[in-house]
Amino acid sequence: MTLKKKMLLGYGVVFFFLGLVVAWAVGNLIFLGAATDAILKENYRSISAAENMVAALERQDSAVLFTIIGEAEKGIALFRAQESDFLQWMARAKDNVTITGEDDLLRKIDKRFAEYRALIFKFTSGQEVAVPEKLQPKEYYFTTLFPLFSEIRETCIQLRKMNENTMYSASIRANTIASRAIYSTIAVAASALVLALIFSLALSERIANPVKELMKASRKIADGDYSVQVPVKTKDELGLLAIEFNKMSDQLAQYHQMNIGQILAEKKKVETILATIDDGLVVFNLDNQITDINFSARKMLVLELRDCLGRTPYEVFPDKSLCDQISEAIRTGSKPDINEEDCYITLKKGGTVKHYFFAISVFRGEDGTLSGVVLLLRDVTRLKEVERLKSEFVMAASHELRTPLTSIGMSIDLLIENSSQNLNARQNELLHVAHEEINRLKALVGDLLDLSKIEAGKIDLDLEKVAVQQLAERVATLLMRQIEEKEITVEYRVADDLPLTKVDSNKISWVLTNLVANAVRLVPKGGHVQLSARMVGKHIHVSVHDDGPGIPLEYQSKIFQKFVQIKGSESGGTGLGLAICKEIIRAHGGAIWVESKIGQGSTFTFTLPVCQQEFAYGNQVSAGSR
Amino acid sequence: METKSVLVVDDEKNIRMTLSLTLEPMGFRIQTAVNGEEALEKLASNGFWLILLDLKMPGMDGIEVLRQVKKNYSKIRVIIITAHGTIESAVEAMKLGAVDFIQKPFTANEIRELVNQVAVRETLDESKADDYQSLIEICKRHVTDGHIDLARETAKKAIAKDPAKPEAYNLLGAFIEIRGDWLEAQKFYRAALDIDPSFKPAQANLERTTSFHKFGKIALWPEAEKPEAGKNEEDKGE
Repeated sequence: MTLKKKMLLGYGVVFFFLGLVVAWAVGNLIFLGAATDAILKENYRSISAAENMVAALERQDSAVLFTIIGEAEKGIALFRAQESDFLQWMARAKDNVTITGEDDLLRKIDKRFAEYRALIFKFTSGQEVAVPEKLQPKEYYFTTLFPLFSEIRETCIQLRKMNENTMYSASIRANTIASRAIYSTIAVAASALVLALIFSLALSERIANPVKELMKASRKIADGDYSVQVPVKTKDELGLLAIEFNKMSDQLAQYHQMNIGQILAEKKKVETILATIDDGLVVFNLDNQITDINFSARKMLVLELRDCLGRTPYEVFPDKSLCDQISEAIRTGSKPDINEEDCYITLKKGGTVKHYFFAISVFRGEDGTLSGVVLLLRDVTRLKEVERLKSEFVMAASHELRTPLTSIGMSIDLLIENSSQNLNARQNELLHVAHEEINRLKALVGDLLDLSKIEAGKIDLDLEKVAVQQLAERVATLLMRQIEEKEITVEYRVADDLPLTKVDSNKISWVLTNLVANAVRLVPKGGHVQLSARMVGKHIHVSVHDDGPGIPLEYQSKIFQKFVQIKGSESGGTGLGLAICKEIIRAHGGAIWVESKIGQGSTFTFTLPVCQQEFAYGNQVSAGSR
Repeated sequence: METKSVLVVDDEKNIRMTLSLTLEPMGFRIQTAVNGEEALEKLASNGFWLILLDLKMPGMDGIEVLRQVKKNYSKIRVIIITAHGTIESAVEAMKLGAVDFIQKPFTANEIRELVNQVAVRETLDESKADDYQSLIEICKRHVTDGHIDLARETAKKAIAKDPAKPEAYNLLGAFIEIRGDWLEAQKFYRAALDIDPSFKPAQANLERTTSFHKFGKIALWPEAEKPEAGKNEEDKGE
């Protein structure tokens, strides 16, 4: 049975009881109506007939009296009229005989009235005959007529009373019926109400129970119990709902199972990747402790897993600055801001020295809070080795080039000396081209040697405390001739209160000279060059500004690379000067960059470490370079 | 001036040839040797005033030749030709009395100038020498003659003459280094560089003495202009 039918049935039962009550009440009403009607029919008419009969009789009596007093004609007319009235009412009374004894009374009245009428008739029509001589009319009336009249009247009244009594008792009976109807209706209605209530309760219980079960089951699913099943007891909509619900919970359980499987598979995948990659990975929690370390990283550190977990980086890594950076990353929640060139550490493994590139990154949970820090270590020993070999090769090649360069150079020198008079102008020009290019080649070989020496890590810094002013003055004296030749104004803006720097003064002078020489070469005749130095944060920034042609944007990032020269500009340099500058500044732990706009000149700036800082740059450099 | 003989010892045929052609116009008689053995043979049969000696040769190398020369022909002047910025046996060469070095690549004028310097040095009279450059040259002559102590004194004189020039400081540093006092030597190299940061010989010396490998030559004067100073080279004009 469907839920709809059940509910209709529930209503139906209630309606049925309601109908029952109504029918009962209606029946009672009809019964009551019939009782009252009976009273009207049976008694009320008889009573009114008796009443009228009495009235008519009395009028007839009056008519007799009319006759006696001499108004015979009036009396007779009245009598006749009342006589028919009387007879008429008596006929009605006869039609409505309902009570035992009534019939007898009516017959008696009929008989007596017939006698009375006959006497009257005799008395009026045959006066002379009928009225005995001896008797006076007056006497006749009192002796004969009046007693008869009284008797008839009494009988009529008796009839009325009889009917009245019957009516009264009928009325009492009707009353009894009415009160019985009220009570019975109340009883029926009450019992119907109780039955309907009981039925409704039972029905609602039947409907609500499965819903409650579903509710409980949903709550369990919400709590993660996917095995829950709802009992299917009925075949109605709720039963269907329970079946669907069970299907749903089955599927949810399956999905859940699948998800866990996927997560596990994902985890396995990640673990496998971490275990197989050559890069070392170390995960730190927010307490600066190692929570995870892959095989490669353990190999790099020559450590067993149990020796790593829970340790701080200071216990595991020999390089303090790396540990500081990890702690810093955990503290600030952001990647440490370090130059890529500084992201290298050296670890000893057995007897061999290995070089590693490292990168620190932070990772966050879903809500954006810091979860930990990951340290990546990449073995770059081979790369470094290749780099070293490359530098060595370049160095060796440059060396080997020197001897032929000498021969060629001298040959050309001798040709220019001895044979130029035998050559025409164009041939002489060619000879000078060769001479110039030889000089350039020599410069190139020299620069290459310097650069490869620096790149091979053979740069040895001879650190000393120097004032920036001193460096600037040296440059000024060195380049005095070129500056004067081009009529260039050189402006010095070196702050007086600058602290001493701790640098290799020769190498920094070299850098500064190179930058100023470039500027001098680039500015037009009579141009301006500005050399300034100021304190920015913890470092001294030294800038060389010129009002030359400027450097195109696309070159600004590359200009410090080897052999990068701006197209279309007549440089005459080797394309290595700035690369060497960069290496020297880097060896000092500083940075060098350029800001420039076409047509507005360029500014080269580099940073120098301040002496007061107790950074052991010497140690750092030597550690990094060997 | 009597015709002086010069011996060019280099395994490179083209260097021998170009050097010969460069020096001939100066009025020297030039002979060449392809290696140490041939050089010693020629030395035995001929009298030479000057030897241009390549340090790196197959067979008997330059240092051995230098040693023989200083032992047997102490009057012969020697100019060492190198292709390397640093030479492991430079201190050795210095001790042996080689004070004149020239580094490849050099130009014709540079070698001529150097030879000329050596020639002029011979004629200088120490008692009359009064200018800085002469003192430097006399100082170098003392080295050539194996008188390191005299050379040191002369260098000091030169410094007193003109404290604002780097060469004398550098030479003094080199002499002290030969004695084995690196730290003291470095002070003088630095002093030279303080005067002229681009003074290459002092740079090379300082680099060598401060570097991990305590090798290398002792540079005594600017050799062929280095590329960074290339602008100077152009300016100098031929």
